[in-house]
Formats: sequence, C-alpha cells, structure tokens
Amino acid sequence: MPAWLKSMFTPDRLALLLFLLGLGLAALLVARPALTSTREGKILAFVALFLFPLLCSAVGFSAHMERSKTTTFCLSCHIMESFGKSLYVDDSHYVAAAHFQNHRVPADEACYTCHTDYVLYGGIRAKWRGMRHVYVQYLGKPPAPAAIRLYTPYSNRECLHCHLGARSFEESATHTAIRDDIVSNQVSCISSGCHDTVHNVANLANVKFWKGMP
Amino acid sequence: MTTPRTIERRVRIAAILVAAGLLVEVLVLRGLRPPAFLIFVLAGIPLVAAGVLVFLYSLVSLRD
Repeated sequence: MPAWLKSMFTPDRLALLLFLLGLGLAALLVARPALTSTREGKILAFVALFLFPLLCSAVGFSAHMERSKTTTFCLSCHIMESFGKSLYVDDSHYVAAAHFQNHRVPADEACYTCHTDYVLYGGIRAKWRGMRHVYVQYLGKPPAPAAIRLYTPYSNRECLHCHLGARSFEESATHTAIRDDIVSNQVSCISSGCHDTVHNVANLANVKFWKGMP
Repeated sequence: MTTPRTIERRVRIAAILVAAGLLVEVLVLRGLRPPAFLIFVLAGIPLVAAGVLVFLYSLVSLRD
C-alpha cells in the first residue's frame, strides 16, 4: 500500500469513518422508518441497527482497552502524578525509574508492562483492577499518593517474565544463590536489601531528577 | 396484531437509540482519560444495546 494511502487511512480515522457511517445509516432510519417496508429496506435496517452498532461498539471498546494500557492514561489521574514523577528520578536504585528511562519496558506502556499479570487472562485482571482504581477515585475515598499500596504483594512472576534467562539475571551471584526461592516467589525481588526502592513517592522531595523529565 | 405502523415506530425508536449511543461513543472515542472510557461503557454501549434489542424485538413481533 502506498505511504500516502497508509497515512490517510490510519486506524483512528477508519474507526471514525465507521462511526460516522453507522450514525448516518441510523439517522436515515430515524427520518425514514418506512424504508423497512421493502426487502432492501429490511436489509438496510439489519445493517444499520444490528451489524454496524455492534461493529462500532466493538471497535470503540477495543480502542479504549488499548489506550488504557498507555502511561499517559494511567498518569492522567491527579493521584498518580507523583508516581509519574518517580519515573524520572536520577538514581539507578529506583527500579521503576531505571526501567522506564532505559526503555527496559516500553516507555509509552510503562505502568501496564510492570503492573499486569503475566498469566492467562492477566490482562483482563489488570483491567479489572483498573476499574477498581476508577471506582475508588470517583466514588470512594482515594488515599494520599504516599499511602497507596498494591492490592496484593507484587509477584516475582512479573519481573521474571523478562529477567528469567537473561544473562544479567542468571550470572548474578546473588540471584544464583537463591534462584529457587526467587522463582518460587519465596523471596520477593523487591524485598528489603534487594531491589527495594521502587517508586518511593514519599521521598521525591529529596531526590534529583533526570533532565529528560518533561 | 402488529401493524406496519407499529413496526415503523419500533424501528424509529431503535434507530434513535442506536444513533444516540453511537453519538456518545464517537464523542468519547478519542478520550485519553478514564471518564471517557466510563462514558463509553456506561452510556454509549447500553444505548446501542437497547437500540439493537428494540430492533430485534420489532423483527420477532412481526408474526404477532
């Protein structure tokens, strides 16, 4: 496909076109419901009032689901501001910052990459947790950023999804000594004395930030 | 008995619901914040679903 055609028909534009077409067809039946008295009209009604609405809703839902993985989406809530800031701390001991700044996780999906569950339907579970965040944000009593805790302890499985088998992990003497405990989640990667500084938002006033911070 | 007029009325109601739902959905389609997603799921999808159901009901009521 030529580049100019590709740039013209981006997924966003195609989705918009689909919605506008669906809206147009529905509007036509609002104005002229008598069209359905003919066979062709009935087919039109089936397309306009069944196929298009379902297709549009599915496309829209999928677009929202994809967008909810983005770092911008997660940080759009005021309460997450300090967590976003913590990604720019100029200290390699800050696990989240080191991963984000060095692109060990995709920068535009940083939150989701570390906070999803790497199991079957883990993505759905992560989205469900996201809905709980939204509930707390709008209908509950949101805690102060420094008091925010995970609903369940962070599982090593999420770290090992990338690090298991990686040279830097496998050749580390510390990791080798307690490898079984790490893999079986007996010793947490973020436990005291290991990689225990993750976001540490309570201490942001006393740290230096990377100059790449927007 | 369902008259053609009744069916047309149901089709119009279905079309209004679908159009309203699609309008809500398209307005928040590019939204980057959680409220956009919530409006999509809690207002757009139910309106569209209601429209589709009314349309399907108008089809099955044809034989009454």
